[in-house]
Amino acid sequence: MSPASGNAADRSIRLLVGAALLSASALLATPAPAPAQSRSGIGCELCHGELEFLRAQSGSLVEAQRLLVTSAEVRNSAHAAMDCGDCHSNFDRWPHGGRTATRGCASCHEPQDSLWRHSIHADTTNAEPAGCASCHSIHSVMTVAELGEEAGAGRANARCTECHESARLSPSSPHAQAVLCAGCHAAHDTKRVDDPAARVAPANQYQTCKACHEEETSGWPADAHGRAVLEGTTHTANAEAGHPPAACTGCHGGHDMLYLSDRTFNAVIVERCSTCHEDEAERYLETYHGQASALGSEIVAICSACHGSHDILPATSPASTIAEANLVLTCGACHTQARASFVAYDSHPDPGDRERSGVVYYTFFFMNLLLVGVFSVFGVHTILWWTRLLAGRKPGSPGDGGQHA
Amino acid sequence: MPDRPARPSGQERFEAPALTPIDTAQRGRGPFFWRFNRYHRWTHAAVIISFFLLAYTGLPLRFSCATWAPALMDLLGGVEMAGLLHRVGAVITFGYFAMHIGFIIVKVVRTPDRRRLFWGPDSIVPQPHDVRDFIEQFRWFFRLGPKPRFGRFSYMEKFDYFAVFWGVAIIGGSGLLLWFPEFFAGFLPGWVFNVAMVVHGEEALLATGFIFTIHFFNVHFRPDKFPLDAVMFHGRATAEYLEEEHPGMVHRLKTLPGEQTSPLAVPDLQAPPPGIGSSLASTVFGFLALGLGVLCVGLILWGVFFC
Repeated sequence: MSPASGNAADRSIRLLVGAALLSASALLATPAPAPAQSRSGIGCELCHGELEFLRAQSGSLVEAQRLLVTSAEVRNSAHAAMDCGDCHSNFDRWPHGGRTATRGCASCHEPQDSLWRHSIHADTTNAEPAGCASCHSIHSVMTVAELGEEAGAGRANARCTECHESARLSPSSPHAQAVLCAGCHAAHDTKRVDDPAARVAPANQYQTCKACHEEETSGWPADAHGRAVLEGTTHTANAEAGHPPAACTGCHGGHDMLYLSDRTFNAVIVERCSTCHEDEAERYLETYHGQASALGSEIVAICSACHGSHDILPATSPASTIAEANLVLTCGACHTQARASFVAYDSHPDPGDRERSGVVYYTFFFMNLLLVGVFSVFGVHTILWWTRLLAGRKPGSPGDGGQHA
Repeated sequence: MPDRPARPSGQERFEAPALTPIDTAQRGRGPFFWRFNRYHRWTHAAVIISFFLLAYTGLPLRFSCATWAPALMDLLGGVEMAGLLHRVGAVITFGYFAMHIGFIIVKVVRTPDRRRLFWGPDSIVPQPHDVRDFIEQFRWFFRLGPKPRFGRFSYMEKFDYFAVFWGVAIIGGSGLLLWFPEFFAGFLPGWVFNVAMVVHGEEALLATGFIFTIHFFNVHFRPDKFPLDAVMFHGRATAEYLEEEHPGMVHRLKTLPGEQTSPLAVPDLQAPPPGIGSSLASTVFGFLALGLGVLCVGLILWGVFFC
C-alpha cells in the first residue's frame, strides 16, 4: 500500500467516526426545522475539500484530516456514481444541524452484510472486530475489477495484514501476487481456520483451491489423501498425533507455500510429508535420495517423485506408481536403465529391523561392532600411551618412557 | 631409487639445533636417515588429498540433519558439485590403489630375495612378533616391562597400512556400486545397494574417525611427538628419532652398514637434513592436514550429538 492511500484510508475511518459523533450529537440537540435534502457532493467539497478551513473550524489538524474528503477520492472508488447525499442524509448546510443520518453499508450490500454477521470479523467477543470500513475503507472503496488486479489485490491484502501481521505472504509465495487473502479465506464469511466451516478447513480446501487449480485437483478425489479427506475417513498416517489427513495445504503449506521451482521446495515437501509419515521419512532421509534432497539437490527423488502428488495410491492398488508392476516405470523416470533387480532396492531401509532385511540388519550390526571394537581397543591403547608418556616426563618417576629392553 | 647421493656413514654428523624443531622427525641427535622414498611420500600425499576430498564431500550427506551440512554443501558449490568432487576423490583413490598394487608386483618381480618382502623385520606383513609387541606395549603402559623394540614398521603402522587397504576395498567397492547402480543391477540383486549404502557410510565414519583421532594422536599429538611428525612428508628422520621409534631398524642399519635393509623401499642410508624449502612445505602441508582433520572430527561429533 502506498503512503498516500494509507493516509486516505486513515482519513476515511476518522471521518466515519467523526460523522457518527456528529450524528449522535445531532440526535441529542434540539430538532431543527424541516432539514433540506443534501444533493450533489459539490457543495460538500467546498468545506470538506479544504483542509485549512476544516482546521480553522475544528481547531485541530488531526480533526481536520479526519473530516477531509475530496471528490476525487470518491470518483475513483466503487461508489463513483454516487453523491454524498446518497449515504449522508439531512446534512444541512454548515453547521450541520438537524437530523443527520448516514446509511450503513448493509442498506445496499445486504447479502455481504449477512455473510459478515456470521464471520469471525463480526464476533463481538473478538478483541478487535473488523467492520466494512476496516477492510474496504470508507470513501476509497475499491471496485471488484480493481481487486482482481495485482495492485488492487496488494492494497486489499495490506489491509488484512495490518491486523494479521504473521499472515503476510513472503514475495516467494506463488500467491504473493494478485491473489487476495479473501480468495482462500472468503471475503465476508471469513471463519477461523480451525472452524470446520472455514473455506480453508481441510475438508473444504479441495473446493476452495479448485476454483483456480482445476487441473491439479481433478484427480484428487481418487487420491489416497483425497479419499480420506472427502470421505471423512478418520484413519490417518499418524492418528495418534491427531493430524487430519493431508488436504492441499498439508503438503503445499498455507502462507509458507513455495513454487515448485523454489530451491528449498524439495526439502520442504519432504518435511511436510514427514509430519505424518514419520517413520518412512526418517528412513528415506538415511538414503542418498533423502540426504541429497535435504541438502538442496533439485534432481534427486523426493517423496512425490515416486509416490506421485495428486494421484497417490497405496502400493496395493494396481494403478499406484509404487505398485510392484509399475516400479520399473516409476524408477525409470530418472534411472533409465532400471530393471526388476534394480527396483528391488529398498528405498526406505531400516538397518535396525531384522524382519525387513536380515542382510542389511547384520551388515549394520557387523559394521557397528567393527566401529565400536576398533575405537575401544585403540582408544584405550591411545589413552594408556598418553598416560604413560605424561607420567614418564615427571622427574624422579620410575619409568622414563624411553628405555628399551 | 635413491633420490639423493648417500653420505658415508658416520663421517658427517648433523648437530641438533639449540631450539627444538617443530617437526619431531628433525629432533634429537645423530645423522639423518631415509625412511620413506619419493614414491611412498607422494602416495601418502595422494591418500591425504583424496581422503579429505572424499570426507568433506561425503560427510555432509551422512550428517545432512546437522546445521553445518547445508552450509558446507553451499561452500562446495551444491550437492551436484560435491558429488563430482567426491568422484574425483574416488578416481585418485583408485589410482593410487592400482599404482600400489603395481608397485608391489614390480617389487616382487625385481627382488631376488622375495621372502624378505613378506617376512622378517623389514616386512610390513603382520607377524607373531607384532602380537608380542602389542602385549609388551601394554605391559609397558602398566610399568610391568620395558618398551618393545619396533622394527621398520610397528604394529600400529602395519594396522594403519592394512586399514587403508581394507578401507579402499570396502569403501571403494561399495562406492562403485552406488556410483553405477544401474550397471551393477544387471547382475546383482537390489538389496546389495542397501548393504552398500550401510557399509559405505559406516566404513567412512570408521576411516575418518580412526585417521583423525587415533592416527593423529599416535603419530602427531603424542606428548613426546607433539605437534607434528613430518617424516612422511620429507622422508627422513634423525638417528635419535629412529632409535626411539624404530630401534629394530636402527640396529640393522648399524650392523649392516651401507646395505639396503629393505628391498621394498629406501636404501637405508644416511640422508642430508631436509632443506628449508622441504621442511617448510612439509610443515605447512602437515599442519593444514591436521587442522582439516581435527575440524572434521568436530563436525562428526556435532553431527552425532546434535542431530
